[in-house]
Amino acid sequence: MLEDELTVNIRHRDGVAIIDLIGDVTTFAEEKINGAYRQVTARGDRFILLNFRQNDYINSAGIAILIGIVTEVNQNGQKLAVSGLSPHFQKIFRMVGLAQYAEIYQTEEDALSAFKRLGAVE
Amino acid sequence: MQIILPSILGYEVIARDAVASLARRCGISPERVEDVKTALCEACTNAIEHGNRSDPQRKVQVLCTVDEQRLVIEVYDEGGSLPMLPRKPVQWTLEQRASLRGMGLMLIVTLTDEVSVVADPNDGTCMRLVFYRNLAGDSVSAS
Repeated sequence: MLEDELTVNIRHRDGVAIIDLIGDVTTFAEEKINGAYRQVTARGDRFILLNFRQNDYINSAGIAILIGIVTEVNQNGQKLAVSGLSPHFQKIFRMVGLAQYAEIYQTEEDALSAFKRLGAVE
Repeated sequence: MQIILPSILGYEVIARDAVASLARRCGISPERVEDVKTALCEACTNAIEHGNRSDPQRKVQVLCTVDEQRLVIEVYDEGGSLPMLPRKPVQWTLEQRASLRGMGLMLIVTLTDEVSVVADPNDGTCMRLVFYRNLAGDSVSAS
């Protein structure tokens, strides 16, 4: 009844698939996030950025969804980064080990610069 | 302060917002308030899903008390199962992350200053989260 309407947008910039996650990342987000990941993977994207909006709610169910994504990213030989997290959720991502598999950047621009150094091109 | 929620996922954010307001007003730092919010949401989610088995007729009660040194948040459900809390410091491993409930409990243990659980077959389960009121800075590091 009170589930947040997570909005998931897919954009492409500088050879990077950017998945914007606008809203709460909880158990209700699973289908949308996994669907977006499947979509960019089917398109052949190698560089993927999960772009969060500061101060949204991410709980353990949401973190589990993201752990599932990083597992698939590793299996598929893709590169994943995250941006837009609040300092609190940056801490949580480091705590649970997600930061081992996805670099954390403050902003979308920072992440795109890093992907460019890894070989992402327009 | 007392808040009563139905056992429906999503309602935990109502308790979160109210308790965050209380925490801010009793001098807990903004960074630590974020820890309060995450730990409380995980405790409420645990109570909804595991304590009350997502039965909307069963209630989750959140009871907050503040004294000179601490903010104490008690989360009651109507179930009788005793969650096994990991010990501090929590050792995060891939095996433990595989369990969703395990990860929620690990977050609670890591983010609180003290946590305990009491289960009564008649009265349900109470998870008690304690946060110190900025006595000597924040106690949870980013590591």
